[in-house]
Amino acid sequence: MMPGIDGFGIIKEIRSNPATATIPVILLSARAGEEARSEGMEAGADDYLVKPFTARELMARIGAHIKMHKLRSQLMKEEHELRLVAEKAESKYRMILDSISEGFIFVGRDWRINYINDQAAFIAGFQSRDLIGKTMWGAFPELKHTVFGRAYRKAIESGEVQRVEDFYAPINRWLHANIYSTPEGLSIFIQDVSEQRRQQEQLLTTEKLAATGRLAATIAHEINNPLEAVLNLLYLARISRSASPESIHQYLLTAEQELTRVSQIARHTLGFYRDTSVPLDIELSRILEEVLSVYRSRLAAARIEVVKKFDPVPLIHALRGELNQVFSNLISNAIDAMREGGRLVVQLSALEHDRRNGIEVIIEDNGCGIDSIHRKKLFEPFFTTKVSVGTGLGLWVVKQFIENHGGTVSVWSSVDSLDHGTRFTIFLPSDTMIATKQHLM
Amino acid sequence: MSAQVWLGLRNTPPSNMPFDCVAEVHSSGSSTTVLVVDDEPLIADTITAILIAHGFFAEAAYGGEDAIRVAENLRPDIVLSDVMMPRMSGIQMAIQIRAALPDTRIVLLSGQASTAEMMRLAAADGHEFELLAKPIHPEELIMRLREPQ
Repeated sequence: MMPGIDGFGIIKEIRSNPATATIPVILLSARAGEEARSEGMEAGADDYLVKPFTARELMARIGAHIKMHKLRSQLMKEEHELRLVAEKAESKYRMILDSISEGFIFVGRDWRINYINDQAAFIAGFQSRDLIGKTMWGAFPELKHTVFGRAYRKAIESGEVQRVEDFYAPINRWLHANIYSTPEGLSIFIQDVSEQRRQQEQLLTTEKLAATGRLAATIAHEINNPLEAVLNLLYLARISRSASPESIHQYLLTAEQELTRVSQIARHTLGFYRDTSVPLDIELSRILEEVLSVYRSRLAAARIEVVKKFDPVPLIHALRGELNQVFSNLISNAIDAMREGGRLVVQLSALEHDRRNGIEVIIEDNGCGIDSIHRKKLFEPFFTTKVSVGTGLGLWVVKQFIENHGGTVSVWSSVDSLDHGTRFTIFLPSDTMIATKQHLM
Repeated sequence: MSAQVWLGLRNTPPSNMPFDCVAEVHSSGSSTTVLVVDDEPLIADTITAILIAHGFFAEAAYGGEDAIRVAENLRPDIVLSDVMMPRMSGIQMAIQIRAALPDTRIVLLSGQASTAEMMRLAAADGHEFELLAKPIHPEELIMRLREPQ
């Protein structure tokens, strides 16, 4: 009880000012009893001393409260500092994740989007704030039918890193995702690779056109020669007024044989670029026979012996045009390596490779061989050792097309003078998984 | 009743051409001599037979090295040659024949579009030859050969 303002009023003033709010307050009162004490504590006092009290008691209480207050201040300071460190760390990580060029999404085990950086939101076509807290499946309903959706589930279930690259139809882009599973959830890194894909497709088209050109040149030679012969033979049959029926017969028969050869070549080579966008069940031996037939003259002219070893193999579900081009490129290269004659071995057999059933195709020559320096870059685009001929894309295309079918291609080669040659080994799995192709051009 | 007669002026007919008999003529005329070169015997032989039927003197060779050898002996007025041949191309052969026989007219016959490019490269080195495209009608060929260069 004091004149002007009483103890309760002082407590109220002290507690309302943040600067003084934590100062311990001891109420000294004449009023005794549990009720009075409770009232005082409820008002905000830290302690309540009833008069009369001894100086010793007062000092003891003050000492205790000062100690507690110091401890409390200390703890509050530490807590504040820890919070600052945590906030700084989080802000640093956010800054890093916001600055990387990849999209990043962190998804909890409940599939809720905890964090999504601007890049990812941009790719998805949303604002990041609209996505936080939503589940992946709720925010992106089409996801579950896609390769990406399946990969997310697989990552969570298996705990293994998943890497996926595919066309994501809902936003019409090619995406590449690296998905890492942690105890807290999934870290997903996403990139838009549509541009790279488009360039790759363009390179493939360039090479396809060039291959068509090369094929056209081969066809021209194959067809123009027999036509020249037929023209001459029919002319001779016509102008030889005094020739015997037998001799005319001979001219006409030879002409007929040459035309038959021409029509075979036309049939095989026009079949080369039939509809290639739909996978069919294909007999590989037939494709190899067709390619060898187209190159028959060139093989004969270079005096190359052709050895075929075709085991019976199952049909394979594949893109005919692509396989045609693969074998055409490899056989053409083999011919170029054996200008002074040699032997070309074409082998076809059923095989199990890496626990997958499939077909192995081997194309082997005993030509000059490829030295080890060049072998490393063999399948790179634009790599060539041929001067002013070709695009340098032939083997790159072979690799693209074979991998497109889920298969593998490898090369062995030697430039050793006693044992030179090159062997390409292709493995095509029976369960070919032809990667989705979208027409980006 | 008729028979096909080979009037050989210095040579024998190609073996697979069905002539009924061969007679020798002892006067040499002033007909033009042509050496026909092609690695496809059917083409070399039919062109040779056609040239002979039109009054030329013609002989066939089936490769570049052969042709160079024959040309040195035959000394033809015209060499008519395919371009795409194994071992030695028609252009390489033509360059060598031109060096040995500078007055011989050289006409190349090709079924390949790329030949034009090869000709251009050769011309850049100072070698000029004529180029005809296969297939060519026999009468057009005769007409071109009878034209002055």
